[in-house]
Amino acid sequence: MSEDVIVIDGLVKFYDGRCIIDGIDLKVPRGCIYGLLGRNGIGKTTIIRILLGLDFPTRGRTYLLEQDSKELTPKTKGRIGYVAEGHNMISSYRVSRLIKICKELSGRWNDDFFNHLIEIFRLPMERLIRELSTGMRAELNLALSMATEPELLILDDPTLGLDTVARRQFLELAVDLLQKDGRTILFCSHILGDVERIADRIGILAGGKLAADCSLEELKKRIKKLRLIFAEKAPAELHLTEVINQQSSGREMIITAANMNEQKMAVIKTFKPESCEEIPMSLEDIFIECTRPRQKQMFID
Amino acid sequence: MFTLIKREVEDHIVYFTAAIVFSLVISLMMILSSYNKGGSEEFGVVFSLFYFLLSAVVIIGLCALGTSQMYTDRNRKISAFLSTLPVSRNQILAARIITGLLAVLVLLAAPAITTKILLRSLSAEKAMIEQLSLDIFSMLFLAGFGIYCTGLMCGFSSSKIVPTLGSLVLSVVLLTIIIIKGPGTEAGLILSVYITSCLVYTWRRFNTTALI
Repeated sequence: MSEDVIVIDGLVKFYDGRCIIDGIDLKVPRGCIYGLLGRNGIGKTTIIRILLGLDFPTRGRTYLLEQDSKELTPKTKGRIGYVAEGHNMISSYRVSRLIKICKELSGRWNDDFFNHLIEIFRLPMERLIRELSTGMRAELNLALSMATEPELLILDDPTLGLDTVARRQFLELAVDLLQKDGRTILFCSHILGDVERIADRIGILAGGKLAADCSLEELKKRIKKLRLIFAEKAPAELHLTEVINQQSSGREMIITAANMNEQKMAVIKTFKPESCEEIPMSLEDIFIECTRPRQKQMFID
Repeated sequence: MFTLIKREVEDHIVYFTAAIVFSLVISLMMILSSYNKGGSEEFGVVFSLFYFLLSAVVIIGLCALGTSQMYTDRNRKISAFLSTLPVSRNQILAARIITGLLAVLVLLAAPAITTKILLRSLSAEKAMIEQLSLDIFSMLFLAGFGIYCTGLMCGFSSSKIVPTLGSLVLSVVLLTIIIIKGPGTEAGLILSVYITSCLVYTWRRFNTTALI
């Protein structure tokens, strides 16, 4: 059994002549909760849709559970749970009918577990899907995808449209239920707090590329933001490698760079700054720095 | 597979109900016609007109069934949802085509049985008429299925004009060819080729289009 549940190999996707995904490589090992971050419309959903075989890549290949996404068999699909962005289920169906269809089509179905979830969520069985609130649809979608006891759960912005309390409840339940058996989760979101709370590995999508792919701790350790104060005007000739962002204003220079090490610090010291302090960065700060438009792209993995 | 077929039938139950009603009406008209041999000319004209109207409604109905299956699929994102379940695109399409076949069979079942019963009363040239009616029903089945396939093919479009007008125009062209040729092997061959082309085109598009 392979260690990598999700494999993306040189993925490129064009839409209407515009490059959305520009050569992404990614491997998600078994048991990992992978948080894929990116701004709205950056291509997170496209990657998921390609992974599930709902859309096709322009170039490159993707694999789920060791099977090419384009040729996913129903048996393999039965091992995957998917909670879609916007929870698009068949809106004209009643909840009970949709559940019946999903149950009949799924090879595996844990009735006790599903009924337990339905009890928790208190879903109205005879209501039409389109009449459900966003929260209820999210819960139904999660319950349907978890009833099959999937090895891999793909959550595409599952908390979109939920209020803070509902979002927290949803995530806690999802993680609590899925982490037990060491299942793999691919979690896509633009809500950083959600990802920070549950993910053990982070990917940041920016400019069609994966700007970062490492653990959260590593990401925080590697990316440093420094405030340098110089005796006179900040030197324009200070150039470091792997700079994510560099801004100067008078005597002050703020540099955000990856893999800050002794050599880089030695380069900075040659310009004799009066002070050099590190500005602590949250995931949100790192995300904003990495996804800043027209930034000099650099990659961390 | 059974679940998928059942889902399709339930979603298009209006078409199936209509098919049963039309099937019974056609059978009733066949019985009435058989009792009106040598009857008034007016009666024959009214019957012909009624048959013509009925045929038009049946053509539109079968075409609409195929179009509706594919068009509502895109609108309601049905395949996009079903594809995330342990189901392949081929299975979704196959269930849809089987549903279309069932609709045509439901439509023709009662008239076929009625013809069989009515033919029992004939004594002369029974074998020849039986062969002719078999040819006619085979052709009607293929034509009905062909019209359904036209709807299926045109329905998988994001535009509203293409599915509606495209399928109707193609159906009319197809039926004109069949009427000119008359029932027989040649008409059967034309229809078979047409059906295969429609299905291959639909299958290719359905399997290579992103499900949004």
